[in-house]
Amino acid sequence: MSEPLLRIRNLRASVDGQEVLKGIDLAVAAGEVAAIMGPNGSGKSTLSNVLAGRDGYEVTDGEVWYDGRDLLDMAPEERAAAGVFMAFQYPVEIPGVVNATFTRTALNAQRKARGESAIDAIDFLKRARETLGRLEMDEAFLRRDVNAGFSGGEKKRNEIFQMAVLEPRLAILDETDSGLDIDALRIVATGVNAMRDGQRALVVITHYQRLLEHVVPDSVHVLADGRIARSGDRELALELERAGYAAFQPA
Amino acid sequence: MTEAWLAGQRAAFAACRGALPGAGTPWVDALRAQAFRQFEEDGPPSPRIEEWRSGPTAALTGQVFAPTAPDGARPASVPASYLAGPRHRLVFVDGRFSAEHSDPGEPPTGARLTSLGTLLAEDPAAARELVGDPEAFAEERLSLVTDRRPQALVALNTALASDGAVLIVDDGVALPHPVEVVYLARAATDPSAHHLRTLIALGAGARANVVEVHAGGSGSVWTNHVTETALGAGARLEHVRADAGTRSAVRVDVAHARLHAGAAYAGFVMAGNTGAVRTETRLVLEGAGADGEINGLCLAGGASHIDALTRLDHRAREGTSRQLWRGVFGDEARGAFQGRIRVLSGASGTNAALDNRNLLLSTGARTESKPELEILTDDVACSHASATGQLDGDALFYLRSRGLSERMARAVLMEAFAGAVVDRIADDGVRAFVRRLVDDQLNVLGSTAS
Repeated sequence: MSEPLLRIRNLRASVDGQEVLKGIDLAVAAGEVAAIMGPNGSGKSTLSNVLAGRDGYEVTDGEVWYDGRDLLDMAPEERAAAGVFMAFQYPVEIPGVVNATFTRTALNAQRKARGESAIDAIDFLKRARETLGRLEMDEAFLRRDVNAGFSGGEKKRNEIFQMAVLEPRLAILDETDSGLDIDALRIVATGVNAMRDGQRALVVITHYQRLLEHVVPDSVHVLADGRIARSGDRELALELERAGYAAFQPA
Repeated sequence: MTEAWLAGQRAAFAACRGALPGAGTPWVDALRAQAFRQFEEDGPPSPRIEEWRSGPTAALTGQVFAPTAPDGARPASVPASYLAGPRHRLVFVDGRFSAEHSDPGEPPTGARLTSLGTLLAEDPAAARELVGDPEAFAEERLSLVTDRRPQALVALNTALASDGAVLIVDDGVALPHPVEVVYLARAATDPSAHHLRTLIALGAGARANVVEVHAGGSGSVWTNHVTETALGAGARLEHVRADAGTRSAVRVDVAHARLHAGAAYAGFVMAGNTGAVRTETRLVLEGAGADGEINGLCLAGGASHIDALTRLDHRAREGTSRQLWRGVFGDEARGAFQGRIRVLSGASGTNAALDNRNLLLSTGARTESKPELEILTDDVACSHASATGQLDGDALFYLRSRGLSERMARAVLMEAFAGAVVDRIADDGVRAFVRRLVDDQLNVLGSTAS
């Protein structure tokens, strides 16, 4: 058995001196879709922020290995260049920065860091248009400022668009299903499923089961009170949908 | 120091007045003499004068800058044309017109593009017409619109102006191409002053686009530049004033414009000197339905100091005005913005907005913002806003999480911040030129910012 693409060992992390992650162990293999489910306050967003490298989260113990590298030792941009993508729960609005320019700048920054040649504007546009078509998104998206004035659903779709263009090896989707209507959910799921190629790993962090109806996970992990309380297969997600998180809540 | 400084200016005026353009023409001599007296009465700018509270007064009076006689030497190099497309180009070196480096082309019939020195020598009557009654001019005010004394530097400019661009456009005539005016200062060893006067007069319905660029300079140079503009009914002027990497110790840049009914002035200021800059824009909307726009970018790093002042007076009904000013300050830079909208009685139906935002890139940088509204009539819509902050940490993280280095992420956000002002420039070619200047300046700021 080869080493998993992502391995988290006894990860402990604090926010403002308060321990939120209390020893997480998780392994995600290349090609695997892992769902991390949990009630509010269980540590889901802290876990995603620690994996993305956001400031303000203090890792007090444990380690995170990605493709043989110490992920926690890498700057956010190094993680991106190494193939880690975070689809944010609350994507930031950046007025004055055009979406197409931004996405191409990001792609080329990553390619440069990997020693690859830059993609010119014409090839990029071609690639971007194909991706937009698959995601049933209007080309006007490219000309708009990054997330500025986007609806919640548009912001989530823009994250999926960026993911599709950047072609990460590990994508972490943080509550990507929240705030989506049925159509947007289906489009997002289509985009996510298109990323499944047997090599790429996906970590889907969610409160609800509904995205998992469209993006069928290989493994399901319940995060409760900062630990993985239980792991299973798709059936576990369905069970949670029926019974809720009551069994995992602190007494 | 002040006494020595004043004495230095007196000596300079005595030494050079006989050789200034128009010398020997009685009304010009009288105007210069009156202006110099007024300068002496007002004294040099000091922090005690409200409008100069945050101005670079110490840098200004720290050396006795005096006009220099032309030495006939040619500049080591003159910047290539800033505008890519067809343009009329006037180049001034150390405060004097350089025919050799200029390329005025052929302005359309009804448009006169020349230098102040040439105009005063060849057609003093036309110059007098531009100035109006010189007696009243000096007593009441120093330019067409300065409404409050003391304005010592405008007075000194009137007394000592050695040259400058002149554009006179007859009624209904439109210039198809922009006018590029380059004020190049050579590096100086002794403290040197260049007093430049630009005159722009557009007749009714006339249109022009003027880009004034400052370049060169050194720590011993003071540039004192006044641009006076009169816009006839329905005339439209686009007016850019920009620093192309100037290194002067102090650059004072004052624009005055008077707008008749239905006239439009679209002004843009880019201040990015490595020394100190004082930039003033004073617009008076005299006729009904006039439209004034003054936008500006102050980009400062190192130990530079940029002090911006706007005065936008609505004196007639149905006028509109917009002011969008942004500043980016890094290292130990200092900035200040004083902007005012004044709506006088009778100017009903006025719609005016002023917005000033500043980015501080380092803990050593400082700026202050003072927007003012003075409204003396009812039935107006005026707004003003001001904010100073740092680059948005969430946006920086978002960009980095997509693979941009921290430096790139900062550059992208700075460019977006400044770009919102640059985007207001209507002409594609001029906007592209200004964007290059701004990008260069932001690159310098980004490379030193923490």
